[in-house]
Amino acid sequence: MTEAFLAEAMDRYGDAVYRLALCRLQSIADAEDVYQDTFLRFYQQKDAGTWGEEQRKAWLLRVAMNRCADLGRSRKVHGYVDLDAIPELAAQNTEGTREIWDAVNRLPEKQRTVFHLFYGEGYQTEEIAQILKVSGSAVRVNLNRARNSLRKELRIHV
Amino acid sequence: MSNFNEYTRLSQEIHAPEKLKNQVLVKAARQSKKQKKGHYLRPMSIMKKVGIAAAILAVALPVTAFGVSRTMGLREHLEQSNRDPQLGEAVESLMVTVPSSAKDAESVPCIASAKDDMAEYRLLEAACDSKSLYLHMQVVPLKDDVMFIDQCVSPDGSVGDMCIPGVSEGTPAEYAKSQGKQLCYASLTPEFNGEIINGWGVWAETASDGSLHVYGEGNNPSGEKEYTMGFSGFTYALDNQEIVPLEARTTFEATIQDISSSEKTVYKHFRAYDPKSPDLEKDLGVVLDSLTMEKTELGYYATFTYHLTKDTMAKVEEEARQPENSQYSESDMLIQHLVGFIVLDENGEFFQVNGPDGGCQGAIDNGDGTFSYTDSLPNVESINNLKFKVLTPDLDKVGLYAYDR
Repeated sequence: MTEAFLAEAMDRYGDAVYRLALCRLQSIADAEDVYQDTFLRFYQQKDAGTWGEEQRKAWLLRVAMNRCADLGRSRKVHGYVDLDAIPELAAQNTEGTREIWDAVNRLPEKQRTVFHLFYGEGYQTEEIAQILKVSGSAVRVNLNRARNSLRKELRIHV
Repeated sequence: MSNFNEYTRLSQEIHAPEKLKNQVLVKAARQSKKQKKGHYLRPMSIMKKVGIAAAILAVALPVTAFGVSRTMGLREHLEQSNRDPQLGEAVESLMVTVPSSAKDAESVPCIASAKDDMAEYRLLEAACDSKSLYLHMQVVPLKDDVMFIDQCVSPDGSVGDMCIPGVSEGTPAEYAKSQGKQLCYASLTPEFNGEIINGWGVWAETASDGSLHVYGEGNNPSGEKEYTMGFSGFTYALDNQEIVPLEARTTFEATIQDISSSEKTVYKHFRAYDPKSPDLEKDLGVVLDSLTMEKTELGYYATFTYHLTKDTMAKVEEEARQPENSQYSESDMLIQHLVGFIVLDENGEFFQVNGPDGGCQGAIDNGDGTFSYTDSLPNVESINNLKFKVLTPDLDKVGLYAYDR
C-alpha cells in the first residue's frame, strides 16, 4: 500500500473512525490513539487496495472498535466528553443541544455505539451488524434500548 | 426541543484533527523502512466471522456495561446492573424450580441440558412474568484443555471482555495459554416456535473453569402460564469461518412456568395535563382508546391502545399512492404515523430506575384497526396520578397528559 493510498483513506474515512472512537471512549486523547492505531494497521493490509469502498470502511470501523475495547479495559472511563472540549462544537451551547449530547454520551457503551452508528453515521441496522460482527437483531435490540433509555433521560420543553 | 436529528447534526460536525493524518503518515513511512530491513510486524487482529442462523440468532454481547467481574446467579447479575435494585430479588421470586428429575449434570442442578462431543449446554435459571423473560444459561467444556469465549470476544483483544475474576491484563489468547487451555467459541440461544425471542439481549462471561455463562433477557414469547422453549447450542474453533449448520447444533427443550401474579386496571379517560399539550386527535391524529396498567412482581406494564383518525388514514393512503413511495406498502407508510408512549411519575418526571425489560416491542398492530404500545415502569406506590407523554414517529416527545378511570 502506498502512503498516498493511506492518505486518501484517512481523508475519506478518518472522521468516521475518529467519531466512533470518541463515542466509545469518551476521551479525545484516546480517540486520537485509536485513529492512529487503526490507520497504521490499515497500512499493513497488503490487499486493502482490492477492497471495495464499503468493505474498506467496515474493516476500519471494526478495527477501531477492537482497539477501543483494548483501551477501554486498560483505562477506566470517568464521565464523558463535554461539548466544550470539542473545538467544532464548543460554540454550540444551547440547552437542547447540550441535552441530547449529554444524554447520548451517558448511554451504556453498547447502546451508545449502536445509536451513534445509526444516527451519527447514518448506517442501517444490517450494516451496523456487519461492522460490530453481531446479529441484526442484536443491533435492533440495542438501538431500541438506546431510544428507550433516551426517552427516559431527556427532558421535554413544550 | 431535543431530537435525534440534533445528534446527527452534531456528530457530522466533528472532524478528526488534521495533525493526526500527518502523524500517521510519518509513522507509516517509518514502518516502511523497517519492513524493508526485515523487521517483524505484528499481524492484524480482527474479529472472526460469526455463524448466524436465519431462524436462531446467536446474540452475544461482552459484559462491559455493569463492570461485572465474576460468575454469578441471575439475581446477583441483575442486582449489579444499572436498573431497579429490587428487580433481582423479584426475578428470583419467579424462578422456575429445578425439577427433581433433572439430569445430574456434574452436581450442578439445572432445568434442562444436552451434550455433544465438545460441551454440555445447560439452562440453569429461568424466570418470567406475563411480558418479561430472564434466563441464565451455561456452556461447559467437556475437555479440560478448552476454554469457551463469547462470539464477540476477539482472541487478540482485551482479556477483560472475558470477565474472568481478577484477570485484567493481556489478551484472551495469552490468558488461555497461561492456563494451558485452548480458546473456543460457544453459543447457546433460546427460541420459541422456531423464532428468536423478541427484544432479546445477552451478556456472556467466561468463568475461571472455562465455561461460558450467558444471562439473557427479553420479551416473554408466550402468553401461557406454562410453555416450552427450545435451546440451540454450538461451539466452533477460532479459525472456523463456516456457519455452523442448524443440523449440527445441539438442542434441548425446557418448560418455562409463569408463576407471576397479574392485576390489571383499565383507564379510559385522558386529558391534557399541561394546557399547551397538543390535542391528541386534532394535532397528532390519534384516538386513545384505553390504558391498561398490569402489575406483576417485576413492576408495571402500561399498554396504550389507540386508533388513528380517518384523516390520518386518508393521509396514509395518499402517501402510499405517491410514485416515490411505490416501493413501500401501505403498511410501511402507516408505520410512519404510529406513536408510542412514555409513562412518567406524578410530577411528569422520568422514573429514577427503569421498569422490567420485557413488553416494549414498539407499536403493535392488533389487526382490528387499533394499535398497542407498551411501556414498562418500576414498582411504584400508586399508579393513579402518573402522567405520560406521546412519542411521535421521529421520537420527539410531546405534551403531558393524565388519565382517569
